[in-house]
Amino acid sequence: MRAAIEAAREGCRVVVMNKGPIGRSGTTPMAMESFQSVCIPGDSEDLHFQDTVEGGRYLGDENLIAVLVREAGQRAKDLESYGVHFKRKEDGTFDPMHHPGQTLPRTLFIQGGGFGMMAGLIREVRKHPAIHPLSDVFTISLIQDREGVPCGATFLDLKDGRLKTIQSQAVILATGGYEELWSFNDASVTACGDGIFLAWEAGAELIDLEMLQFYPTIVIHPPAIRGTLFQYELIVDPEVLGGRLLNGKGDPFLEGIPLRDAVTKAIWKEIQAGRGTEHGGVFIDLTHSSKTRPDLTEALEKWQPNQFHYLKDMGFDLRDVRIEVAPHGHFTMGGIAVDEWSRTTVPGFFAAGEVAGNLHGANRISGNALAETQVFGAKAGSSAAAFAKGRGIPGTKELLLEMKRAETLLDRLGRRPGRLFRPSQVRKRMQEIMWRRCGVEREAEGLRRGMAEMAIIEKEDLPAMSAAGSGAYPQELLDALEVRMMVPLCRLVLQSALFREESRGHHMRADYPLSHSTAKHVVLARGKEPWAREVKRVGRGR
Amino acid sequence: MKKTIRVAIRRQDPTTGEAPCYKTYEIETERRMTVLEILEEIYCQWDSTLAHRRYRCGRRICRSCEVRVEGQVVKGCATLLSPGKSYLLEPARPGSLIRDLVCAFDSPRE
Repeated sequence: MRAAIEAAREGCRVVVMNKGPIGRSGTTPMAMESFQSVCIPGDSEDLHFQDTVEGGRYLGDENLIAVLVREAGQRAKDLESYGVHFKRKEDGTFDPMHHPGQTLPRTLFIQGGGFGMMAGLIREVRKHPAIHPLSDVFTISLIQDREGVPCGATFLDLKDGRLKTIQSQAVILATGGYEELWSFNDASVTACGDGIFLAWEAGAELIDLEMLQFYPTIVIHPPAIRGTLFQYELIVDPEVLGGRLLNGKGDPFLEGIPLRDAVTKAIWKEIQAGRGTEHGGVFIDLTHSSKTRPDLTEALEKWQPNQFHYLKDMGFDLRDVRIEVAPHGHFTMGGIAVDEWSRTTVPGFFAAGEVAGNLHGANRISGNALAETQVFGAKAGSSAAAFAKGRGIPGTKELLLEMKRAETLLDRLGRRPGRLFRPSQVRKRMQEIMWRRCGVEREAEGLRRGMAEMAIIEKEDLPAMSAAGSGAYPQELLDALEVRMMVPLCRLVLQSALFREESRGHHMRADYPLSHSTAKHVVLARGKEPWAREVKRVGRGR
Repeated sequence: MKKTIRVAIRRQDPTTGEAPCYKTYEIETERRMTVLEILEEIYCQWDSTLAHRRYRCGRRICRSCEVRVEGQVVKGCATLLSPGKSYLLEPARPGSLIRDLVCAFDSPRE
């Protein structure tokens, strides 16, 4: 949405295509309240830069980090001008939270979280008649001319179930991550990596796909509230909620407030050592909070009101009961390789937000995700506008050809008598392989087996998969189209994870427990073997 | 004996011009389940032609999974149905029906 606003400002007509209802689907509405930007005296862009470099375990490209820290403040101001509210103190100054990995408090608290931020962006989009938002449309393929430059896309309009096509001079991918490749994730069911697959098909380089950030404290039991995130950063902070993480035996095992990768490892260690809870996790415990009950209630109301009331209404009052949690896939740090102007390696294709891959490195620190969407969204909008202005209207020859190919694909995926596999079955098998072979802890033998298992799914299950798919909102056809993209993407993730023979951040290799002295990217491109690339350094910092 | 949650779901694809019908499903369970859990189970296990919004924001704020239960608009992710009972499930906003329980939202401009 931020990219659309910027491109429209520069005089372009923009179509925003979203596979669910805009503002009520996708990644951003699920985001927590955090937006990282320097806001108190004594803090600086250099400190934000250094914290992000160190938090990312030196795998984030520093040219991108430099842009992030330089422009996050201005993008926060933009959001305020769109009507987004940040928590402020009585004197009118920002009331930032101090999250792990920050030298000084730097997390601006967005009222309403990612959902609240989206509401502001939608209000702003309404002011631009040149922006045409399309909800409930699924992009099947991107169309390129002979030189590889974009000329449009084919898509399935879920509102009437019809295949359609659109012409365009430039394409911005902002489709979020690919957490849905794994069984246990707290991300949106829509986070299937569509944009990354499309970029791969278009010939773009992908980078560090093995880097899946685990969030340590996602509810695993009971099933009705499974997948709900409660921030450990707030739970264990004596200044905020004053609670603890306990293992299955009821013993505390965490000291301080470490970063997400370290907490994930600590929890994993407890579970592997047989000290997990009945359902294979640990407890978050506020029943012995260091705070008085009124103070605890006030803190919950202030910092996590939505989750607190949601869980309470579902019968789980955090002040009275412990809840079982475990690490889940939360954010994908790998993705499409971009430069500081949000350009991919294919001219005319741009990428911004979680879909891009080389900003956060091996561990994203809290608050940098929403900041990333705004900083690089604006960059992508401006870069795509400049690119599009220099081009004429694309020809229709390629569009017609691609339309035929998409028709054939939909026919093939459509219901056939005697079908062997339903998309939901294939998705489940694929997710289980990814969790077992490429989950919290990985090793070469398991990754190789995972690749062999995924190859079978690709060769045997995908061709035998078909879907009930006619009329409006063909849900199973949508499911099949997603699975068709996810399975090859799984293979690329496994390939990257095998190639990175070290442990770094969230990539934990049982057979390579140490980190190399120099961090390097794992890069993939169509028709090539994976290769290692130097991380970009700019020599900035404290 | 295991109990069941029985739901009658209003089914309609307006693009076909056919009248709506109600289809009944029974879920065997001993515990209360959310509407969203039940719809997922029906779609994944029993009837892949059912259309519903699968998205869950995890904080009960996005309204994506809104449906009408016994005439009342509720959030599917946060509404528990009990074993041994029957419920009527209909689209939250019939005026903007896309199919079955899937409705359009007011978009910025469409």
